[in-house]
Amino acid sequence: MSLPGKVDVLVVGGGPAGSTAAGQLAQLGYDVVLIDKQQHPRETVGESILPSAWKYFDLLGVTPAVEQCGFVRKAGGIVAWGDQITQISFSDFAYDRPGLHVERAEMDHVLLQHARSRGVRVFEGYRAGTVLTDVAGGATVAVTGEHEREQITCRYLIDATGQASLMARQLACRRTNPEYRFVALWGYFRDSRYVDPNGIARPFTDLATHAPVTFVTRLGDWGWSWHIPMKQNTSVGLVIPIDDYKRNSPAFATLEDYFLATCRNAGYLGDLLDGATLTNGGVRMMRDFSYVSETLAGPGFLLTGDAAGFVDPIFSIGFAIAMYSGNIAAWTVDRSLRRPTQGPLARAVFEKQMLGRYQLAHTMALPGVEAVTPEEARLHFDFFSRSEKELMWSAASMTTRSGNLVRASADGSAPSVLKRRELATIRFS
Amino acid sequence: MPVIDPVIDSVITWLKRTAYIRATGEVVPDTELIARGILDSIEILNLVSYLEENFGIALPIDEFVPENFETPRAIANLVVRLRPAVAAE
Repeated sequence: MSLPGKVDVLVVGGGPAGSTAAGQLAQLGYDVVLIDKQQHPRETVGESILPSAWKYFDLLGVTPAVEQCGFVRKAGGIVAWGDQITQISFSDFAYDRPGLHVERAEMDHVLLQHARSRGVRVFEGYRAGTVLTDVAGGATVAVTGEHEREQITCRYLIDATGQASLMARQLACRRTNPEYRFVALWGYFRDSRYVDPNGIARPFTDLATHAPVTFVTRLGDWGWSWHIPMKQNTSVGLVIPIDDYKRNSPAFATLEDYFLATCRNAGYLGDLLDGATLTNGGVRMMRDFSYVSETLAGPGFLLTGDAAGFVDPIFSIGFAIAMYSGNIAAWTVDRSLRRPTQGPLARAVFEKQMLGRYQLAHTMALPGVEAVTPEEARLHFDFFSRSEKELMWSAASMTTRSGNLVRASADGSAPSVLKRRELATIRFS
Repeated sequence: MPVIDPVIDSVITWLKRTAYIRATGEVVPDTELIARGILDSIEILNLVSYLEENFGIALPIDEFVPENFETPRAIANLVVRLRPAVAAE
C-alpha cells in the first residue's frame, strides 16, 4: 500500500480522536487515510476512563471489542483532599456500566483496528509536516515516511496529533494557560496495593475479585496525585506546582529518585506503594500543562482531542473529550462536504461546542483562581443531562477546585444534591 | 397550535427513530430531552441536520443553545420561528 496523492479526508494521528473521526467518516462512505508517526500498539498516558465512554463505543460499534479486552472495571473514585476523604460511585449517576482503567496501548489499538475494519487506510510510521490550507477549503500536507515523501491533498484535514498539536503549532496559536503552573510526572508500578470503594486498601492480587476506584490525593496546596490500577500494573502520577518542582528536584540525583521520594511522602499514596516496584519504563514528564488552540477550525481543517486543547486531567475527561471531538468532527466534515454552503455554519457549531467543552473542563479544574467563567462554559454545561451534571458537580466538590463550577452554575442549573459519601480513613490491614 | 403540531410530531418521530438513547416510555411534546439524556450533544447535531434538511431552515449559530432543544415543543418553536413561511400558512 502506498500513500495516495489525493483523498477525501486525511486524519493525522491514530489516538481516540483520530480513530473515532476516521471510522465514522469511512462508515459514511468517505475515502479516509489516517497516518500516525508511531506503530500501534504504542504506550501513552491517560488510563482512567469515565462510564460516559460506553456511549461513544456504542456509536462506533466497538463495544464488544472493548469488552473483550477485559480492562479493569472501576466502581468510582475516592479523593483524599487534606483531611477530607470522599467517595463517589458511578452507579449513583444513572450509569449502568462501569468506568475503566485501561492500558492505552491496547485501547487505542482496538479503536484504530476498528477504523481499519471500516475501510480507513492506515499508514503507521508516517509524519505530517507543513500543511498548506486553501481558503476555498481543503489542504495539502507534506507526509514523510521512512523511505517515502509525498504530498497528500485532501478535502478535509483532521488534526488528531495529540500534544504534538500540528496545526496549532504551525499557526502559532497554541496558548498555554498561565494559571496552571504545574508539571506532571508519572510511572508504572508492579504490586501496588489499591483502594476499593469502601476505602479499604487491598493487595494487587485482589483485583480479580474486588473492583478498585481511581484514587486521588492532594499534594501540597494545589497539586494532586493519581493512582490507577490496571490489569498488570498501576499508573501513578504526580501533578506538582512548577515552583515546588524547581525547588525540590535538584536535591535528587535523578528524576526517578525525586519521583519515588515524593510518592513515598504523599500520605496514603506512599502507603499504597509500600513494597511496590517501579517498572523499567521509568518516569515520564510533561511540562506544558494546560493549553488551548485559539483556532479550532478553518476552511478544510479541524483540531480534535489534545491537538485542540488539554486541561489538567484531575477529572479524567481527556479520553471522553477526544472521542466527543472525533464524533463532532465527523459530523462537521460530512456536513461541509455534503452541503458546502453549510460548511461555515457547521464549523461554527464545531468551534462553539469544542470551546464550550474545554472551558467547562477548565472551569472544573481551575486551581483556586477566582476567574470569570466564560459564557461558553455555562452554556455548554446545560447540554449535559441531569445525572451527568450531578456527577460533574459531585466530583468537583471532592476537591477545593470547585468554586468556579459553582459560579458557572449560578443560574440555578446546578443540581442541588451532592451524591457522595464521606469516609473517615483509608483502612490498611 | 395547528402550525406547530405537525412539527412537534415529526420531531418526536425522528427522536424515536434516531436518538441514541431511546426514550423509555412515551415522548410527549414536553418531555425533557436534554435533562433526561434522550438528546445528547452529539445527537443534537444530527437533529440539526434533519431540521435543516427537512424544514429548509438554516440554524444561526446564536440559536445553537440548550434552551432551544429542551423539549420537542421548544424544538418545534425554533423551527417555526426560523421558518416564517410556515407560520403564515
